[in-house]
Amino acid sequence: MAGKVRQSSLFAGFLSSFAVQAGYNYERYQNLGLLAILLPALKDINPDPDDLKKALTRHSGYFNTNPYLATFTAGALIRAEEDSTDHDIHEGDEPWTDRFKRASGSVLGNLGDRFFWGGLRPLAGLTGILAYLLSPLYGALAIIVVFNIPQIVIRAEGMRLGYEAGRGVVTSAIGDRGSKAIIWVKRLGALALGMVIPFLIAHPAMPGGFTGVVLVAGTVGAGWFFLRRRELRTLTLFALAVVLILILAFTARMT
Amino acid sequence: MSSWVLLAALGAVAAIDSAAFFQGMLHQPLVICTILGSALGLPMEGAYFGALLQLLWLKRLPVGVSIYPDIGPVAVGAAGGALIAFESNLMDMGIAGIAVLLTTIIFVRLGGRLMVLQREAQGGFIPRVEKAIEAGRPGRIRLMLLEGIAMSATRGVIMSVAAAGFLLLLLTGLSALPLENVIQPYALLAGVLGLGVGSVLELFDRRELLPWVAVGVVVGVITMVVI
Repeated sequence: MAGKVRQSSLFAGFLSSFAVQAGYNYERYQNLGLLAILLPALKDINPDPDDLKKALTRHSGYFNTNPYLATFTAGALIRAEEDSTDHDIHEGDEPWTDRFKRASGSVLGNLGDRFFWGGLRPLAGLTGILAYLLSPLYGALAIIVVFNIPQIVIRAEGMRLGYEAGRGVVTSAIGDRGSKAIIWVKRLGALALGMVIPFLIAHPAMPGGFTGVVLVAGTVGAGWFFLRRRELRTLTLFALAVVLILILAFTARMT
Repeated sequence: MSSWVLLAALGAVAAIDSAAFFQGMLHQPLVICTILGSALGLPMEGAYFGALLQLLWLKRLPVGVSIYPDIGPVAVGAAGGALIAFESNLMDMGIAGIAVLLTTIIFVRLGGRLMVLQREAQGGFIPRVEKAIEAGRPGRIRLMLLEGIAMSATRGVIMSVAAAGFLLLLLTGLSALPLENVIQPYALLAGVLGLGVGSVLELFDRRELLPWVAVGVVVGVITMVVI
């Protein structure tokens, strides 16, 4: 007889989601992390030790997604485990669990990478620099607040929505909200990027008005031109750093 | 001695946060270096080194299985080394800034490589998980995750201490050059931040986002005037 999942087990799963990457490996990626998230709920659903063994074995295969969105898949799997009476259903050549993890992991991975890595992380970093330029000790605080409020809320909501929606979580619970969120986080990032430039030029510690403008404009241009490729080559950066040092030393001697 | 212990501990925290637990951007240079500086009684200097490094590696995305620069522990080591030198003989901030930059440029890829080795080693968890499930001891899965976190911590300690040691050697070499009071710390910061802004610009240089960058510039100017 299958048991009912307790709220405390969902909460324990949410807490475990913070360690979803701790056992990351190149064979099954986040499978250990996913098992740790599912474990409290699977214990509720499968009071019989043999059933629990079977359930854990079902979920010990490959899993990989954006770490901040893993709770969506986990919540959906918990709901599916709770509802289903026949866990060995195959879809095509593979068990439904594998197919679902692969499909949702891929969609959520793409969505999460664009939102968190491509949007929220640059936004947090730029906000941090902006805060630093206003008051140095607030920079760190700005990064922590801007990044962590969304990440914690989204992890928690992921578990709730995944558990409510089950296997339809990607289409019914997320829908086009994910795309809209990506657009807005990128817009805010672009806004923060624009704000950093005048603050950099007009900082009281900047060496001279015109020299400062030329320095910032020149380095922004150089950064965009040389470092815009995805692969940030160590040698390129090293060469730029050396050139920068020479320019600064020369400028200081001139003034 | 206690400064080195603190440095190693924060190196561990940075490595854990970057890829094992929480992933809440505590490992970002501006955050971890400000914390380190505050703990060593030099908060402004710590924040300065953190700001210097903040934008340079921001664009590299830790997507999928790619090797990405593991900046957190290296930033702790480089900034920590500079702060230790600063504590003892009031090292010139401009020279220290350059030493921090060069150290991180050299060590970040090494950090990424070490992370790959760690993840390869964690492949050994798979048969152990299967055994634990078979033996009816699923609680061991959590212990293995803790083991993974401990491995990350060890990686952080190694990278931060190695980077700090290298930086102190580099500083000794740079101190022999006639660079004292030549490099203005803020000019260096502005130049490096400019490079960082330019590199991050790629993430936003699509036609629909450029107006937002322009609006940001205007809002920035207005904010400065008001302040």
